[in-house]
Amino acid sequence: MPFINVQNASFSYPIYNAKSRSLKNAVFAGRAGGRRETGPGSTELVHALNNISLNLKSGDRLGLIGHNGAGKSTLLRLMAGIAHPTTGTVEFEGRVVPLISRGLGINPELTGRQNIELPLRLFGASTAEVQEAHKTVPEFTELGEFLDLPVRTYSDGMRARLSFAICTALRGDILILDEWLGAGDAGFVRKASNRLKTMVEQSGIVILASHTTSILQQNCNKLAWMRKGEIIAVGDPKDVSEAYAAEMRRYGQAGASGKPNEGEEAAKIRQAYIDDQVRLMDEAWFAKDYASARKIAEMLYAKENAARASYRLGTIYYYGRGAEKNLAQALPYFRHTSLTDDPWSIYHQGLILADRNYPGRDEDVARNLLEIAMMRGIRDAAQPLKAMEDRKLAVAS
Amino acid sequence: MMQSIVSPKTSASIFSELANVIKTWPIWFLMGNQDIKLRYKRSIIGPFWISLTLAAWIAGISILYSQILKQPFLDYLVFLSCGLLAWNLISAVIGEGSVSVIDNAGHLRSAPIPISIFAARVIYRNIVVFLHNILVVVCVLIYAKVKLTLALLFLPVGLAMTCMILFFVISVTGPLCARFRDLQQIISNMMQVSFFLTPIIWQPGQMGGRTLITGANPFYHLIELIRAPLMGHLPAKQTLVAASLMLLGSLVVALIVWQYSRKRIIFWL
Repeated sequence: MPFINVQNASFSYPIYNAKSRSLKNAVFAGRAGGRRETGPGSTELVHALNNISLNLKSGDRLGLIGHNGAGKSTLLRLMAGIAHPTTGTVEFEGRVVPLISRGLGINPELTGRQNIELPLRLFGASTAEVQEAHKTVPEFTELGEFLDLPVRTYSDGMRARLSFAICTALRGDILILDEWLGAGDAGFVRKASNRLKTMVEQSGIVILASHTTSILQQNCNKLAWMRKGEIIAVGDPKDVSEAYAAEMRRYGQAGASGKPNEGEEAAKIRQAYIDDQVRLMDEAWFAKDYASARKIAEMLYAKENAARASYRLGTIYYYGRGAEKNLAQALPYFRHTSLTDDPWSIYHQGLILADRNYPGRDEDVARNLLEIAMMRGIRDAAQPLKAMEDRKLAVAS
Repeated sequence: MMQSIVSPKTSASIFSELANVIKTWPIWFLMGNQDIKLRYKRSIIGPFWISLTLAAWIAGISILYSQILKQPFLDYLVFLSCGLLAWNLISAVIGEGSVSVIDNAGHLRSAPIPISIFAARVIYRNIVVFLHNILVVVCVLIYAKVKLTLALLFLPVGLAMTCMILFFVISVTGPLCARFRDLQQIISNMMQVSFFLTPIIWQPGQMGGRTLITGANPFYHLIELIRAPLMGHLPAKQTLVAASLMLLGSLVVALIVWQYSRKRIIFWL
């Protein structure tokens, strides 16, 4: 049975080639990064991990979440046997497949087919497994004749397909993934995520580091939140990721008035969180799961004042999906300050103002709005415009 | 199923690195083959450019220097080509070996592989190059009508010894060049100077009685391990003793460096 047993593991590393303290201070200042201290001699020590203990057994799917530089990747490398703890122990049993860097072992001058073997060998694949991969990779990548052309002639998307297909051709007992689930181009994402899902299901233990809370929630049954080289919370993925998101919000607001660098970093994470939730919301909407879409939209609107959530709420009330149809309630959502340039919002505002069931009806403004939407490429606006024109003519005659 | 225990207290056995190199042969074998394939990918005669380069060197130097040094042309030609063959192997391995760890930082950061894979890759690749080069030397030997002797049987032994010494040497210099970035420049300078200090284009006899410059020169002994059997005689006893000492010494230093760098290498990349 595969297991990983990390006991009181700490990891510190010296920084070489650092000429002046001020440069180092600039690089390692602030919250992003581990704690640091001056080591023996003049080299500086960064404590990337501090007294980490973890016990994983078959069936565990552990997610790691945290800031850039919180120690996620270092912990993954420790568990993969790539780095060794400074103090403490890391024990593991089973074959580890660490998918830490994309494109490992791929040489752009060689053809796709010639590139299949090396990445697999680096993870310790046997000849039989390499032969197996020679069958599955062409099938999965759908690269066809391109497989016999040098990889340097590939587009980024094709490269992503190839390296993804190769690295996932191997079965391991312990699967270690660093920000991998978002790999691949748009057309490939669904296929890739299915494959990864089977890979995750087949592996005894999965450890996954990501910034994207939804990915962690979908794939993990345990989530660890890391900060400054320490695990500050472990538990149910939903609880931990919500706590993390809440912290990020607070932090983002504090950061805006505080140190600019930290604010930027936090804003990035916050934006990633919002984007992620918006994606979930829209997925629910298009899957006709209006109740879920509304729940996410209301949460996002209340907590983040997100424009997309505002728009979604507008459509929920306008079309009466997931809530009772209410034009008066829908309109303000389309008038969100960040939506003033959004053609679809303009279009919906026009529709509401032109609607005979709306008490504050104003056909002139509606016509203007619909024309603007039309000019911005919303073809759907043509039909209500024509209807208004017809009505006007009918009234005139 | 393998079990691995990684901790600072339980250090792996000192020979585990050697065992790992043998175990991971598919990796360095594949990498070495890719290196050769890529180097001559779009050329018509492919890896035979290696042979051609050596042939051009031999032709150029032998015609000029047999005149300057007033040596019989054929004797000088044989001496020079056997010496250059060996020197090309040694200098390429040491030059490429010193960047082998730095160049493969990406691999070491993302996969749990032993460092010495990259030393083995350099050695394997240069043995392939050597096999291309030896074709030229065989032509020279036939042209000069050098008689085959039983000493030729020592060639594989000499080559193996040289390669083992070189493997241990670059197992030391590879990680150290990653830690101390100046070392690579020092080594490359040293190799350039050594080419002229080592009897390759001049013969040891021409130094008169001063044998220290050859006797104390490790490159001289490494070259002799390959050159002597090709020229029809066994290497001198002095060379065999020196080579054995070098083999032992480089092995010990390599074991120390492996032990020291295994856990630290990740910091140096």
